[in-house]
Amino acid sequence: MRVPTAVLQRNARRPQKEDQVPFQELLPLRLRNHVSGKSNRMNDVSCLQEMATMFACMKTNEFSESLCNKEISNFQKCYKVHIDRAFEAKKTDNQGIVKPGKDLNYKQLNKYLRNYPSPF
Amino acid sequence: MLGPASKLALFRPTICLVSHMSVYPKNYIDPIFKKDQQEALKTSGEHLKIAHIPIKAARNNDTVSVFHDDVISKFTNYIMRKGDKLLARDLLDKSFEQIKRVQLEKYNTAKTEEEKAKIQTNPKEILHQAIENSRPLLQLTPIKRGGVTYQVPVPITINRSNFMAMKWIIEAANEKERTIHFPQKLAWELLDAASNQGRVVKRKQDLHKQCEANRAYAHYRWS
Amino acid sequence: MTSLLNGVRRTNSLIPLLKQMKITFSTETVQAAPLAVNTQKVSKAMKAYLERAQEHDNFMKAQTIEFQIGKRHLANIMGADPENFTQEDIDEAIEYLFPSGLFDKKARPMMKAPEEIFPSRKAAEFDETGRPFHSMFYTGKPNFFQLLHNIVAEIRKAQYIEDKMIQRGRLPAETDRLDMTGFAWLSKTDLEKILVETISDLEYNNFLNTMNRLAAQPAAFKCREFALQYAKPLIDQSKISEIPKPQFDENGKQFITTYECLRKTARADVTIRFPGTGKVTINKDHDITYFKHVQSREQVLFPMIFINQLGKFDVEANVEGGGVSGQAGAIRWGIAMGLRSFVDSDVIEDMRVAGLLTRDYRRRERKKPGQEGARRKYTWKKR
Repeated sequence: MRVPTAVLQRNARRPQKEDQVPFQELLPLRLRNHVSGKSNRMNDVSCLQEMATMFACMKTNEFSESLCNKEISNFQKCYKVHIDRAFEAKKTDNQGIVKPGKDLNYKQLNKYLRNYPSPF
Repeated sequence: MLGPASKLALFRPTICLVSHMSVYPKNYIDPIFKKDQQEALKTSGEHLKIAHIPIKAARNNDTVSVFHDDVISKFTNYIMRKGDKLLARDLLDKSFEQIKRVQLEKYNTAKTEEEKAKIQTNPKEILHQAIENSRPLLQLTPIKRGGVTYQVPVPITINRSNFMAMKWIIEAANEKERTIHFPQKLAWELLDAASNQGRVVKRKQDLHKQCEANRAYAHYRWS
Repeated sequence: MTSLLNGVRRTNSLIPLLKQMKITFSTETVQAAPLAVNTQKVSKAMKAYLERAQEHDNFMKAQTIEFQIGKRHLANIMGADPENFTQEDIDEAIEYLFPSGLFDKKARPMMKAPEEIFPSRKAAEFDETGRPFHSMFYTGKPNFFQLLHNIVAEIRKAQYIEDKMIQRGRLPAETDRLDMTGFAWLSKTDLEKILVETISDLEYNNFLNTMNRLAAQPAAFKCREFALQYAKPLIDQSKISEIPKPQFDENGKQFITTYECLRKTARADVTIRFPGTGKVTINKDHDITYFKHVQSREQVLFPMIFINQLGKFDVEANVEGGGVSGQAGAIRWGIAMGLRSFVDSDVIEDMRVAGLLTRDYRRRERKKPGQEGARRKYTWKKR
């Protein structure tokens, strides 16, 4: 009959002995001086709320646009703002030009981290 | 739309990623030939900056003639096949003539002054109205998620919606019997669309309905 | 003849030498090795530098002598006085003796003084013990980084002035700004020439950014002198070409003829007469119906409609070659150029901004091999 090894051991949670298992520093024990750009992919989903209200209005009015002018103009304005913002970001943030503020692009963060690297 | 100021790339550092294909050097800016745009330049004081910047030559479809209209010239270019602009312009002029005839007939058969005042007889205005009425607000883009392709409604820019409206009108005019000529059919389609009915407006509404049906996928778009 | 062109293009032999010279600097070439050098204390770097400087001096001396001899030979060939043979004469003679159809002017044969051909080099920037004079010596580009420091010092100065103004209860006005209208920052090559250092694109961008930050300061008017050292004036575009005076014909009408109006492969000469009735004559016996396209007719009339003078000028044009729109474009340019003599400078500037006075050099783009056309690729098929 096989007995599980955990049962035979007196204390499974006993720490390892440092002299028997020497510590190896496989990765440097400090934060890197750069961040990855993966999470910064431009999120293009915008104006969902406006789109929903527009659809609701259109459905009740059988898709005649003249009765939903307000909703439609709201939706278009929202999209225009979104496009303009993305265009501006392309010119400044995405090139890593730093500016005061807290929402920083990964390129801007990298620029800061290059100037002020981890102290040790 | 960009103002001329944003095109002044003189003091701006540039990082070039693609090769420059234009004949003009990079510091050249597009010509500003319309009278109202030039006035706007002068009132904003931007003409002083432009004085030191070389300008590209005006293109050969630019003019300040009163008969010139940006929408008409764009529409002509979309009608055009294989660079035959003479034919394209001829076809559009013919269909404008048809529109004028139809509208004048309506105008003359109208009984009262009020009815007459309602009838638009300017073909240029009718073209503008037709395009305005057939502009879609959204379009469906196929986006693949987990092996399944979803049709996702996506908002579109004004330029894109203008293009789609013009394309639809021309496509509708091209679907015709052999005995009917293109200008005739185009005139009918334009008149229909200008009064917010007909095939092009139907097509736009169908697209909107489809978008509405697929609205659940709207958050899928990312790109 | 070979000796004639000596001192012409010998840059190749010098390039590796220049690359070694990273240590040394300051703008001037060292003419001779410094004399009073204590031989015991001279460091290895200084010794190497002195050798290189000596070598360079000898090389330049030899080049100068060769150039002088070549110049005298050239003067004799051309039958001119060798004593008063200037650089313009040399250029003329070279163009005459070695006619070249090469497109790039830099690729054509030339003969210039060796100082112009070989770039200037830095003088020693460390003493005989090998200790550098400049604190930023070990950056490798001390002049460039010194420049950045100087710009930042100017920015601080501007900010100090702004602070003082605000303390005195006055906000900086629009006139206190640094007005750089009509100036552009130096190009990368020009800046490199001033610094005597090669800089990367990124570093040049840093220079531009810092300079722009200086120019954006609300009270930077006192930094103008500094900023202008690193800017070059732009030419007022409307004053580039001279405007001819109109002549008088036998009927007492003013007229002006523009030759060589080119567009695509069309070529035209256009005569404008004032006062006129708006008559357009093309190739002697056609009127504007010479063009069947309405667009081409619009093009011919564009300049006159633009200045609101339709029907006040007579136009006579002779046009050949090219297609319809090319011919119309050539005539349009000719009319616009001719009209400059009859209107005031503001209108000329308006015409320039409208793009009427620019020669349109665009040509049909060639088809490329492996592609369907100029840009369009063949349809891609996997198999």
